[in-house]
Amino acid sequence: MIIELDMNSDIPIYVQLRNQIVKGIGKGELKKNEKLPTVRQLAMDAGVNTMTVNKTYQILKAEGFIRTDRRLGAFVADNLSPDTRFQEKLESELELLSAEASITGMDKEAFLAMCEKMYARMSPCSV
Amino acid sequence: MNIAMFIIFLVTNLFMCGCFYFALSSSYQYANGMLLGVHIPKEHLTDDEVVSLKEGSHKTMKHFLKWNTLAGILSCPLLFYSWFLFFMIYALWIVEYCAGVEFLLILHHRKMYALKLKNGWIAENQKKVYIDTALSVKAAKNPFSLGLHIPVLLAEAVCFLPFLGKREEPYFMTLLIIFAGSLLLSVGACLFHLYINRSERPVYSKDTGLNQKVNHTMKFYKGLGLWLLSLCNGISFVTLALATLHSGNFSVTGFYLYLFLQIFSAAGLLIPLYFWKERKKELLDGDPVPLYVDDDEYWKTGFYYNPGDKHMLVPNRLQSGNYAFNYANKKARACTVFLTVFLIGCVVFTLCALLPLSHVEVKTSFSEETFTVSAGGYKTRVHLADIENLTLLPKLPHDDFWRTNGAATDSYSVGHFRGRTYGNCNLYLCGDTMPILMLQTDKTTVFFNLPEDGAIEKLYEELKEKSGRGE
Repeated sequence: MIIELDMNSDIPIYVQLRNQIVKGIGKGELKKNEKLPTVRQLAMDAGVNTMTVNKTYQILKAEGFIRTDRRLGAFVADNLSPDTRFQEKLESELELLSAEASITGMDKEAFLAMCEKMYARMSPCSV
Repeated sequence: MNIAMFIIFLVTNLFMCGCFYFALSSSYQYANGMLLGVHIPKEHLTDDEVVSLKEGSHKTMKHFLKWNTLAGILSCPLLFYSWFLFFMIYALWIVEYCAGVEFLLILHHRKMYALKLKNGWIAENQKKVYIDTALSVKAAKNPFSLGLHIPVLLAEAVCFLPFLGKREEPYFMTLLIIFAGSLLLSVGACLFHLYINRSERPVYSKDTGLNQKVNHTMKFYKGLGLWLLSLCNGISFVTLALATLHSGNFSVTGFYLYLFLQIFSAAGLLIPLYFWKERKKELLDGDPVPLYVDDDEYWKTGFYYNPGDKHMLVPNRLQSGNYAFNYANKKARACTVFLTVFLIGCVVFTLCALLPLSHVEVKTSFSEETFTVSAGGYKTRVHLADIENLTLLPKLPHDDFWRTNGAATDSYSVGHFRGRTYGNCNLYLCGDTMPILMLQTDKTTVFFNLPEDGAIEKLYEELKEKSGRGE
């Protein structure tokens, strides 16, 4: 997959990296058990510090999206099942998005249509 | 020697001119969304301003390259007239050529960038970085094995080993210098091959398969080119070494073969790079989803300056196949300073070393206790009391004199030489004036003559009287 990083953005690079990888898994561009670049390779290609990439991988591992092996490197996880923490996180983020949508005048049907459109783009490999 | 130098410089000049033609050929074509190193939207390529700037720039550069290639060829025969004059003109030509190309490229690039800014053709994806994860994962895979360099390096080293036991031979130092140069070139090619394999992963397209194909092809052709450079260079040294071992003396035929085979080193590097350029164009021309990052801001001065990029070297967008320093990187700045000082130092040193040789005249002088003979910037001073032998010789003995630090042309031989029988000796011979005076101390042997008739005989008598020696 192609990861796009905006060096001008206010969003920290490690968050951008994390979001891009998650989207990649969601869209099926990264398959389960697919090897990810090593911390050093990704840092060199992104032009960032290895600690930034390390942080990204730690977050992704904690969230269960990837697994790491000391010898072999990082891989997309092969079994992702939503746990309680994930549900709570998703609820919290959706709450924020819903609040922003309703404040700006978007109606419920339009908001749900948008969510449906986004979800339809996702085709992760069976997890 | 003049012929050998003529061939060396002619081939080197033609190779250099060839490199410039190759590197600059794509600067004036629209490729990867860029023209003259500036991202220009495709729909504006036929605008009058763009066409006019492109064609005018290209014409200027073509004329410049053409006249300099001619100058490079025509300067070589000067070697037969005067080395000093040749080196001075050669140094000026090199500086003018390299600085001129760089100046024109940067000038045209800046004009195009100014045009872009004037028209507001800034792409949305400035300051974005694209990474192809599949490309990064396969970074360690090399389509052209680095291990192929090892046999070449070993062959060069093995062929030099027999000469370690021949340090006393007069040609040893010359062969050592040639070996060091050959090894340096082969090691340099190997290291650069390693660098390309590890560091180069540009993303051209949203199609990850295409990126991998382009990257794989790039690594193959560049790896092949560097290996052929190293291989041909290695073969040329091995040829010289074997010819020298066979003949028991520094082989002139082997040396000419060495020079000839170096042409193949140059061709070995350039030809794969040419095919890589064509193949890359072929692959990317058919790309339906090209990915362009408008990072012209980092190239706006004509030099690359990007504090956010950790790489020291990046592909030079103004010269295809070449690399540019990232001047935001401290190491790059340090390298530039070092190389500049080193190159200027080399030129100045060569000119200073050659200046005394522009007019060679043997001079002698006495002080109370010493006798001095000098010519062409070289000087030997001996104590009169140390002179052990003085002999007038009808001609220079045939001793396979080998120049270790001096100058020898058809009209003079001055400096430090080494003979098979006489060992380390100093020669101050100008013209064909005979006889030659041989002066020996316990440390050295000096051969010299004087231009005026009878002068050497007179000097011989004077030295005999003052030193109490003579045949």
